[in-house]
Amino acid sequence: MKKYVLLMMIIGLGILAGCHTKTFTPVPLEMKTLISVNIKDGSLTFLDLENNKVFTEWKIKQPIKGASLLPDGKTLLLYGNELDKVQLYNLAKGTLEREWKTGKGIVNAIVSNDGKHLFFADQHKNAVRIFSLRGKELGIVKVGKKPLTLLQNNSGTKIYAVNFAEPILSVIDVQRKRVIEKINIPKASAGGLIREEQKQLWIGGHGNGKEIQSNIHVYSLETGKLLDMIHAPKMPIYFIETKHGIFALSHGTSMIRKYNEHFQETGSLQIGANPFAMAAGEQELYIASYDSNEIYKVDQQHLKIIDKFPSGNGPFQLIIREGHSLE
Amino acid sequence: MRRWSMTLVQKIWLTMSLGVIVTISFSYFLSHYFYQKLYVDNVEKTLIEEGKNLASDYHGGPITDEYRQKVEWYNEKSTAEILLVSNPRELSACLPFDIDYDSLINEEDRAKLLKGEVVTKTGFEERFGRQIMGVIVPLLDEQRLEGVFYLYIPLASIQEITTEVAYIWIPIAFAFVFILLIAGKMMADRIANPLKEMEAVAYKMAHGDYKTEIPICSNDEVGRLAKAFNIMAKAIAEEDMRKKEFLANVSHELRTPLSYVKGYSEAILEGVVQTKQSEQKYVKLIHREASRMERLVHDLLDLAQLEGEIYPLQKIPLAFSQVIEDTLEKYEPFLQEKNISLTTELNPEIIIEADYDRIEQVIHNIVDNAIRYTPAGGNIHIQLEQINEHDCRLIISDTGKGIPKEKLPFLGERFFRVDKARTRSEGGTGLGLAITKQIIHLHRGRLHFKSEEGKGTTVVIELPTLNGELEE
Repeated sequence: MKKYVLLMMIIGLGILAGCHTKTFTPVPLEMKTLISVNIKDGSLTFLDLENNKVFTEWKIKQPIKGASLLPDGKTLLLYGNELDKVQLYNLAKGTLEREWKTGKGIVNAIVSNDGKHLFFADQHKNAVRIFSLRGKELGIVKVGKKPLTLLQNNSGTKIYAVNFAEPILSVIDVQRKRVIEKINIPKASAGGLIREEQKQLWIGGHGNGKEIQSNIHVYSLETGKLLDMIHAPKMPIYFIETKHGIFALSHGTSMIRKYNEHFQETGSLQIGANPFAMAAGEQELYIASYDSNEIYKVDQQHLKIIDKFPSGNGPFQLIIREGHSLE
Repeated sequence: MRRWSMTLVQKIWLTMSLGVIVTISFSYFLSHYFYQKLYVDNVEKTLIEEGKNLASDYHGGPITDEYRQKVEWYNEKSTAEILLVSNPRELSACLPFDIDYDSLINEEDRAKLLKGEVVTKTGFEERFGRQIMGVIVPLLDEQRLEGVFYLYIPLASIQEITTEVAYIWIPIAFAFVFILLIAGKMMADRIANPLKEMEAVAYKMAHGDYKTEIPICSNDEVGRLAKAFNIMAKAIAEEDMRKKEFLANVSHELRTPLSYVKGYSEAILEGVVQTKQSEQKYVKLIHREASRMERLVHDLLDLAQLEGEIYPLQKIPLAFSQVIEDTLEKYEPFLQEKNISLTTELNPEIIIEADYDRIEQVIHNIVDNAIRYTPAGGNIHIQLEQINEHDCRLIISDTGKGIPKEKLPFLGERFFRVDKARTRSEGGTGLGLAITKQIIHLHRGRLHFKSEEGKGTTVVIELPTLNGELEE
């Protein structure tokens, strides 16, 4: 009900605001930028990573849940399960360029590694939808209940959809547009990591009901069998692998842990309050602290906090946009 | 269309009843409101204090089992239910993932708790399946919400207390209303009953019955009104009596000369009178009686005019002594005839503002009486003196037979005669002193009499002098 009222208000505001296109502070194309999607107030925070400072903040004031950066490096796609469309903003101009009618329920969007497709996790249709970069829907693949996390292989030909409300992970063949494999995973799983060379699939989660997930489940990419469980309390939900190791973020205890190839914990750090997202640079990690509205900069090698920046209300996703040369 | 009207008693009673009922119900709701508010507030305050005390033992970091055990022990002893919640799921930590789980605290509460604020809850809580009054105290490690204390007591117990109070309160309130309404009715009756009696008495008076009196039972406004009403009724009765007396007097005074006139004229007409001489005598008698009637009617008219209060006096400044002397001059022959000596002692400087003719009439009336009742060889003394700056005094005393003490107060009343036997034959109409009194009254003066039987009578007139008049 509350959400419905909020939605009505937002739609009303949208109608009012729709009369003239709002222009935000443009983000220069050449600037290396960290984009933070803040879901409590529907804003975007841009950090200038060259000068280590907050560059600007866009108050979109819409119920956005996440963003995805298109390969051109200047188009940012925004989505939210309460929005009936995805919005494409031009960062360099600070304007809304296009909107694609998708219907409600989009909770995640990723660009394929080959740069040809967009994949949407749609919780209303319980499907993964495949779009072209121009906004044309190329296909829809039914998966389990409430798909949330989307992972892909290096070539972008396989999509791994983690279903939140069903203990199943659906593997999709993009070419054939269908589910080719199902892997049993714990219920309420979220976040994951594909290690193609090691043929490993790491899956995190919140835990079902009162039970709290404290382990990372490692599966075989080939057989779908559970290989190992790594203790990482509580609620590990975000993973990144860099040359310094594998990093797992547990939001229940606000812990970041670092692992080596042998699943051994080589370091840990308590950071922020209820952090949900990470992004990796060359030597550093950026971590979004959801409850304290901060972004931490952490040294990957030594797991030490280097810096922190204020963000909008409720940072939920971090994206690094490399600086593009002006040509 | 006839308007529905209420009696005074009904109005007073209705007003009082409404007042009582409104006051009682208002006080009920007010006390109920305050009771609930104060009590609930007090419970809330206690819970918050307890929660904060418990939270003060938390010094950051993960919640230890030892701490949890302590809280459990305390929970057993405490009247309130105390939960130490550290499950991030219950604390809505996973909320952005839209988890289908009914957390103990919602997003809004979490935002408050993260700021270190205490959250309070009153009402139905699904988790506990009952009405509760609860407070949530955050356990913060810097900005991390490590856990919360959820303290609550079932709200039913609060409501039980209020209903218990209501059970005692309502019968008392009803009894109170009942008593007040009866008292109100009695009071309204007490106010209205004398008024009803006054109404009845007024109707009786309209029919000529002046005897009924209203019993006076109080000294309040109504009592005083009843008293005034009684006085008024008495005054009307007296006035009515005077009127009747006056008419009786007038008819009596007129009847005597009329019967003379009638008798003598009949005698002449019927030829009873034989000699011219006798006839002449009878006609003289008829003429004398007619003159008497004329005087009487003249005096009555005069008195009626003077009593009308609006009689226009031709006031001019007068040398009072001069007026007296001028008047006395006319009496010299009568005085000599009756061998009465007249002595005067007049202050010639006294000036009064008065109607010459009327003042002359006053002196005339008094001196006339003095001469009439003073035997031969007697003395009449007239004295005019200044009493103070504003007033003068005229004293006319004779050595006549005097007036009995009990009759003094009636002097100046119409048709009052000291000696009823010496009546009409001596020529007075019985109105002279009444007219005198009225003239003095119109001149804002005072008239009184002193007398001692067998020694004489003194008439004292006090009048304002010109100075006094001006000052007034």
